[in-house]
Amino acid sequence: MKKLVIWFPIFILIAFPVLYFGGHSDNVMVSCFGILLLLLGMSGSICKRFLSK
Amino acid sequence: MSFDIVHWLAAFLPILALLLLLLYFHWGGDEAAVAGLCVAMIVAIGLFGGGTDLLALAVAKGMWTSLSIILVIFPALLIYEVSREAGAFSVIRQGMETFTPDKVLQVLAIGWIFVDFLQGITGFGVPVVVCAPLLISMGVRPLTAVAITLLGQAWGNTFGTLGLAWEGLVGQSDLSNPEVFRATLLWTTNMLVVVNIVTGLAITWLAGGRKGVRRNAFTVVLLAAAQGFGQTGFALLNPALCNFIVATLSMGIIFIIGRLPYYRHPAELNDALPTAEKSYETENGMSLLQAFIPYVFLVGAAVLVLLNDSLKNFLGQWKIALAFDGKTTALGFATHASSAYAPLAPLTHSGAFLIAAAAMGYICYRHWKYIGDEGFGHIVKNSLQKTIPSGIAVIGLIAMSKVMDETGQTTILAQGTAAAAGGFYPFLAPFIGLLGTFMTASNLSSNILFGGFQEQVAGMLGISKIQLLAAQTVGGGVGSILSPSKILLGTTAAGILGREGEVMGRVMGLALLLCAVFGIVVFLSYQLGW
Repeated sequence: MKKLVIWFPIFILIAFPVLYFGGHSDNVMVSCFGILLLLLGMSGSICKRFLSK
Repeated sequence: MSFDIVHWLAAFLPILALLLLLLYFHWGGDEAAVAGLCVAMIVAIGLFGGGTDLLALAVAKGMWTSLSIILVIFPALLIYEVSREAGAFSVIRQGMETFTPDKVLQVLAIGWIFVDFLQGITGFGVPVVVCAPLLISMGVRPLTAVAITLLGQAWGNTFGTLGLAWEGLVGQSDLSNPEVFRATLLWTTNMLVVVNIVTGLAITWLAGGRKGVRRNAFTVVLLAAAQGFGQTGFALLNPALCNFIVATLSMGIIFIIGRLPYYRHPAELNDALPTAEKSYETENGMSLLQAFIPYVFLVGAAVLVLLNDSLKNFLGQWKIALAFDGKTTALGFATHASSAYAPLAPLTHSGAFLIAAAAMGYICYRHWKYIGDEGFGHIVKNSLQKTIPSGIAVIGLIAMSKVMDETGQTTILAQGTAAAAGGFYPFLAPFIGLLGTFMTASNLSSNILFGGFQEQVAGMLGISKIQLLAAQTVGGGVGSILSPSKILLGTTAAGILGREGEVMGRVMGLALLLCAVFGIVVFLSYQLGW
């Protein structure tokens, strides 16, 4: 699982266009998906913290 | 958008969460930033009527804005890794001994004078990320090195980066009356004299302890006052260049000071790294100029481009920007549409100078055979590994500030504070500037965010705007000491990522005390009619 977490930041790169176009198209689903992608991409360190407990 | 206590408390929650996680729970900056962003989004949706489309755009704006900071982090780490791989830091440390055997003065030369020189020309966190590793190579502990660079860059924040933050303040407020302009300038520069003296002494304390302060207090106060009042004088002639001119002159003066007989006696640091922990002890035959080559190129390129208007305009003509729609929250707080939001000029951006300096350093060291065949791989791999976590943290922090800004949370915080304080508001004016820089990592952004607001409050209270505007930008400069994004730059460069809370804890008291003193002075100035 810890090895998988290292790759999470890739989701941040994917999140940016999703957030940008989701926000401009007023699309709730796409915007929510973009936010979730971003949070997933940024959550690597928090995941590591909880996995190591 | 009306103000009430529930909304004010809710708007304060993301900042409170961030501070608690950093200072009390000792979370790393990347973890605390994600949590702060989540809290800001929950508050935005739950109490400020922010729709998901608005949040998506606010977060996208935050990501776009943070790109310009990440473009500083990665190449600055490249410079560090190039110098480390070539073994330049041991040469720099030994070279500083020939400048002066007094290690506290060495720290002052790098952590105070050279930091301000870089702030004068480039800014954007470059002084912190470049000088923290240099200080560590001189035997300063990493946490102390980061604290020193943060303190050292504070006073140059308003007129550094060629006066960008001051221009921001002037652009956001009506300073068209020459008398008001001059008075605001004088109030600002005079308060910055105090910031310079206090931070200079604090750096001396961190480097040399009580003994160091006793030995260097006179030099520091004299140099700080000369720098500060020199800046005041030059600011009346040219606000854009005043800090850079003073910083350049100071570089020469500190060199002369190091040659004085008083400073030819060895003096040790208060809490130096044990000899075993000092990095890169090996002799490699490198000269001091060779060791400084990436930094020489960095300064040369920045000065050449940024002080030459025709070259700057030529290279700055290529810009990348994104268009953003305007949005309105359910509570009626509107953000304007922008056809070119936060344009990025890649060839005049600080990152361009840093990457050119790193490339030049690598080419030279490779040519002189200080870096071997496998060096390139090590340099890029190590730089990337350090950039990713701090990049995540910067994205989280800037996105959090954008969500708060675009949903009206920041405005409510400032309006609520002003409404509750009433006639005591002048005392809080520097703290509003501090809040702006704390959130955005930029004195310029703080002035854009709150410059107009301070002017409005002055009109509302029927008092002169001069002191409030000065307090805004000086508070913003002091706030740069506490800005989590800037602290992250330092901890990343110093190799102590995750200890942002400890750094913040070490410098917080001084920053708040400075703001409180300025608050009292500004408050008294209105009461006594100064």
